[in-house]
Amino acid sequence: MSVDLNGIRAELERAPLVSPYPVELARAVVSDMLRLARLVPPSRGAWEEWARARGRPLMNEQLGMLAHILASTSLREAAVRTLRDRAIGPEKTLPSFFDKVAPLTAEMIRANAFRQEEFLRRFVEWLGGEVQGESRKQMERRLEQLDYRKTLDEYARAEKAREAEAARRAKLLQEAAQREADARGWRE
Amino acid sequence: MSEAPGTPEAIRVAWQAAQEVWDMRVTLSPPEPLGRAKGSSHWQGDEPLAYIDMEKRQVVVNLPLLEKLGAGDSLTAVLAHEIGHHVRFPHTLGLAASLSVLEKRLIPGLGSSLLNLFFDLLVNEHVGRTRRDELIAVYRGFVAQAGGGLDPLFAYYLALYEELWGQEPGTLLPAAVEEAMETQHPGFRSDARVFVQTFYALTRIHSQFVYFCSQFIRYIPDPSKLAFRIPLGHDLPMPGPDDFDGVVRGYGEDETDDALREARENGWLKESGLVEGKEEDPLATIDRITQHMPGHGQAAFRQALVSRHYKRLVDQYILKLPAPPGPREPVLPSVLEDWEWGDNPASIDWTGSVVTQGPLASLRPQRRDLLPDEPPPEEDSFPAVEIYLDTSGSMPNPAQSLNAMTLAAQILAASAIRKQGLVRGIVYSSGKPLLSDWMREEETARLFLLNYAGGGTDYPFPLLKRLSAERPDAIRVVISDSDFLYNASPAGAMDALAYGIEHSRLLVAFLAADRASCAKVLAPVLGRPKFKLATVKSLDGFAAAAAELADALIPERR
Repeated sequence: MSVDLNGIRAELERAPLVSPYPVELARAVVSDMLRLARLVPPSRGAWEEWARARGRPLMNEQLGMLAHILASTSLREAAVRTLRDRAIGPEKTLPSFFDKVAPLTAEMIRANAFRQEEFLRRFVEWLGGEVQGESRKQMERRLEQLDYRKTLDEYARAEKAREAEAARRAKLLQEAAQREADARGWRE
Repeated sequence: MSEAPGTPEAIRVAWQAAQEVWDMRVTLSPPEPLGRAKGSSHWQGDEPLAYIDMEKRQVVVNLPLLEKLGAGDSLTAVLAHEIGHHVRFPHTLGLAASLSVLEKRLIPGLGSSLLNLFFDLLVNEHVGRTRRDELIAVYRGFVAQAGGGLDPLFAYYLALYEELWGQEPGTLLPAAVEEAMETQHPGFRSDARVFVQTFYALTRIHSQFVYFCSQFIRYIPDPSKLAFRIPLGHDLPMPGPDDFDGVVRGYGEDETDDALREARENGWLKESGLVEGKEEDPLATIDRITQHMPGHGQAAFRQALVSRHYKRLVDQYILKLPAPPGPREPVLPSVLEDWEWGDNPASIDWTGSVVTQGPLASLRPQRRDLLPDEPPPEEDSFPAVEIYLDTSGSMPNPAQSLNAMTLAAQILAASAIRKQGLVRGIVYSSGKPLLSDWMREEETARLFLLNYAGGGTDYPFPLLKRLSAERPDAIRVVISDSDFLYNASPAGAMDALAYGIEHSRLLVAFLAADRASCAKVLAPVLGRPKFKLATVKSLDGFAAAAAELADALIPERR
């Protein structure tokens, strides 16, 4: 089942989040999606256990954003259709979705187009769905591009070169600033 | 069926579609092909792809070039790009001026502004949501034309679009260039990726601009020599004096401060080596604004900004006037008279000649002179004020730093003119002094008094004698510092001063000097009823003292 990502983002733009979803409500919205897909939703204990697990300090706010997206866009319908075909129960794999989006805060997902796209693509990936108009390879490639942790790692690798360039540039610009100040001449 | 490219109908359809990209109606004239518009707008460059004249609200597009780039189908995207400049980025040239000043503060001596590229990135993000492939075709066409020789700035710029539009590396940037860039600038690709994912997430435009500068500077080897040729990279007009004057008055100041604070907190400035130019006085800002402008028109631009700044300073001291009179015309046309052989041919008024003489106009042309706008008879009794302004090198150039003497002279002049008086300026240093006509208009007087010589100090006593003889009813004010005392010391000079005093309604020596020294040197004239000595201890006090002096010398008209 393919998901129209651009369409969903346009729908999201038209339905701004007014206030954060309470955790209980967010769990209920996600559980409803699973029920509609004829799947057994996680128990209260399972939700709490997942949120307590190491490396998932932001899970509840991410869950709130997921609930908002499901409640206000056609993603829920697409998710239900896709999940119906899945054999493995979500309680087995849902935590893996939250692990992949672990560093994303709710604010990032709400306000940063790239982080929102990453969040949505990770969800589609978890669903096992496809992005409309893209091949599997293109989807993987885009997710790789959007992986901020990986990008920052690569960025940090060239730090030394960048530092040396910055020091040289600072000197150049300070000299230029001095030249301009000198050209202005007399100061009271 | 789509229209043939370049036909009026195709342009109309593309224009319609381009407006839909921004989902709003715009008050712009329909686009014009380049050939028809060139020569009548702000565009100075060679062979632009398209540009928008925000003064005339006219989009111009170079259709043959678009075809040559193999991007004939991209007309809608190009027009949408230009509309984007009008409706969103920058929308007003005031914002462009504010960012331009910030840019000059961050990158002193920058050879060519990056502001257009900055706005292009913002516009293309929006246009690319629906017209991505059309924009890609334009940039690809340009890369093909460049034959692979791309400068680092353009290469980085293209890599940004590849990342923004989720394209594979190589879509816009040739692989060989990418490889070279990675060697010269390790981490080039991750730079582009991090830029795109950070830049578009920032919510305030000033912050976006500081971040933009901090990243782009890496790809500018020598900022002072920067020049680039990037499609649509020079399609915005430059802000005008009004826009920059707004910035000098503080427009965008808070936003700039917030952006610089954010940049400091995030380490953008330190990591990039950008300098955070300190907050400076308005004249230094004006200097920055005008420093790297093309020679043509730079002086007039600077003078307009400096003049407005001094006007505000003058107003601080004398705005208390209850009802300043409306400005006078500097000159008025006279009635028509017959032009005769020997008269100046420039004085012929051909329109007037044709209207009054009909077909005989060329045989009997009429002349019209421009005369000073004389006040009504009841104002004739008002004294004229002659201001002798010392502009020697001991004081700064008023266009670059605040010159307290120039300001004092302007305050006196403005006070007199607002009270319906006449003013004449004598700006002196060493050598021949500058002498104005009698002036009745504030702006004219202000601009004249902004003249500066910057040499030695040599008070023009012969001129004082001549002018005193011509107009003994004038009030004369000498604005100088202790140098005037040296000038007045010789016997001949003191005689001329005495003559000037006797042939004036009043002569005031308004000096920044020690009163005791003044009293000693000027002792021969000090007791005369038509001579007054006014001193200020420091230059800071000049302006306030000038306002008080003006009040005392030039009474309110009843």
